[in-house]
Amino acid sequence: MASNQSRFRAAHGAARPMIVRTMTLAVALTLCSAALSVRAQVVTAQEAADLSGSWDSPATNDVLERDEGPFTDDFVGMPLNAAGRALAASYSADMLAEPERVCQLYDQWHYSNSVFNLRIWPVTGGPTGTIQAWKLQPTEDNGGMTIWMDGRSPPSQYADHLRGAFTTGHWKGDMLIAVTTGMKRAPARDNGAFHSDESIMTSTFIPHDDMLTIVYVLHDPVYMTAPYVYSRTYVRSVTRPIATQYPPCIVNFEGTSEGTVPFFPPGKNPLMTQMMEFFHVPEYASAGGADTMYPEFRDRLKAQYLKLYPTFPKKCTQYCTNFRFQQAVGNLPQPVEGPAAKPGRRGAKSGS
Amino acid sequence: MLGMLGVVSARAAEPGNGDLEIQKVRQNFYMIAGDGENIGVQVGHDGVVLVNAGTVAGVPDLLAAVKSISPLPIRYVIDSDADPAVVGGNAAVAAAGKTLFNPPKGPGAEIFARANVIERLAETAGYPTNGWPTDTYIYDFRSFYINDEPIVVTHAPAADSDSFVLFRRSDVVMAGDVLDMTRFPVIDVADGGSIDGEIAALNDLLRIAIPPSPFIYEYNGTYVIPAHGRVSDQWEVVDYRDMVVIIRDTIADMMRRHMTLEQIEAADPTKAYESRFGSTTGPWTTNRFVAAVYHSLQAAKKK
Repeated sequence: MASNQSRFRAAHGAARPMIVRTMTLAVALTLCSAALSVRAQVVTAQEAADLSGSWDSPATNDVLERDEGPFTDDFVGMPLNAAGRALAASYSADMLAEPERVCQLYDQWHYSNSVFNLRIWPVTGGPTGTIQAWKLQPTEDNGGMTIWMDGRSPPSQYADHLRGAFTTGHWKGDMLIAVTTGMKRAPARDNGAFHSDESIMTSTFIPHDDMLTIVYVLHDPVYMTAPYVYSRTYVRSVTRPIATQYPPCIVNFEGTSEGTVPFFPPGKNPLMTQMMEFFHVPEYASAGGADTMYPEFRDRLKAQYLKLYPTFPKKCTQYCTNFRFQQAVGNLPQPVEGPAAKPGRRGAKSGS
Repeated sequence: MLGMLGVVSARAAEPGNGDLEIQKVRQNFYMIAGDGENIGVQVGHDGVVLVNAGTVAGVPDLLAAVKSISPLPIRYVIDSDADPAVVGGNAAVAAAGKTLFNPPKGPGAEIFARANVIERLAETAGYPTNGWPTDTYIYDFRSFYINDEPIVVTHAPAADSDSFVLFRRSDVVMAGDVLDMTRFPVIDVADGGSIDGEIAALNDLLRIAIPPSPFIYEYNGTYVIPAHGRVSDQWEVVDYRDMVVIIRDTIADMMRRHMTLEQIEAADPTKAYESRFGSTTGPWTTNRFVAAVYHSLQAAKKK
């Protein structure tokens, strides 16, 4: 460049400074626009937000649900129908130890209630390097999710349902809406409620500041009477990149013999009373159903609770607040009951 | 890229293909759905091997669909069982094919099946003898090597005439009636079928259908073609096996409590699965399935 400028000055004398500045400016503008077009190739006008990066999943209010898992008869808030409840009531967790299931991955719905962090990155292609898809991968346990952004049609009804299912996406404002079909039949919750292979999952990715909220909605015409909604919020992890692992899996004996199918016959599951035993939640609530999703359901429970309240123990003895905390520090002295310790009031003591 | 997406499908656009749908399962293996039971099509330089021949009415569309996949002649028709939806097209499809052998075996394609299939067809009024198998097996299995691929036909203990057909290099197994993604398994008591035989067959199928372990994030494993419905794999076979065992054991538990068949039907032992696999109409209803399980458990108790 310097040598060109020198030759130009030598050829054009006094006009050179203005022309040189103009040329330099033109070159600079060209370089800038080239840089902008490169940036545009990574995130074009069609991509309203950049979801790429490492996303931490904080262990906060729903850690019990996502880590150890819910109580065996806790289907509160799940719009299960009679078939879904029957299936859940027959479930034995020993089924996971069947040799044929030991190396089964979780399915795509498990993104909603898994405990793992997430990594998201774009897949570019074509002559202009546009984003063809967004890829998601949790730390482990799930097959990756590929959200196709190119408008491709879903596979035929006769095509296999892959472990990664099939997902397409589009932008609505700065929210990415992804629709997943072709899932396997798999747990909708870790205590035996299943969703069918006819389910459709809609995931809405909502970036805000350094957080990403994903609202998952499951439509299952076989086991549910209404859409089942579950949301999670991740925090962008800048200093600690999320490593996605693909650990190989070999089947070892885990307690269930080949050909054995553990389950509970109707009416014979001894674990279907935990919600009543520990929390005095009646079966018509713990069994789930669409009406248990809504706050108005508490009015129905309130009457029963007020009747039962005199029989409740005066001090909580287990699962009072956060049972993991209790495990860590042992039984702490319980708060002293006062006038405010009545059901339905704010500041009610644990166990009341 | 498309291979990574698994099966690729195409509506057969050629004339006469009707409602048939062609699914490319592997490089040289296809599934044709929409005429009777699912039909398997293996292609290669030796010609075409079909598993199942569909219904009589569907033959023209089936032949057109096969022609759209490969111009080479049909060499073998392997029947996975004796169901009319499997053997209905035997005579016409074989006649449209070309034998690998010299006459006097006959000019058309070979029809191969378990020996019991001939017995069933002989008992079927009006079934043409030129649709009977031209070659059979009576022991546990028979194998072939066609289109650079071992083809292993093994007896599926669900019924006397049932077979699995494994295409070993393609890693695809035709499961026949043992696996059905649209209904409860058909228990054909007249053909020696029983619920315990069905479960034994499903367990055998689980030893053939290999899951993608240890690289569970990368592959899908063996493809399993059911009698009806979508291409499946080991995951679906496990779910189906578990369902059948749970229903059997639930009914067995009710029988131990001396419940009658009517009481068992009223208790709805298939409640958890009925909306997905059950039916109140058609040739194989939920009640027929429950009754078949009940009667085969009774028969097993008497032995």
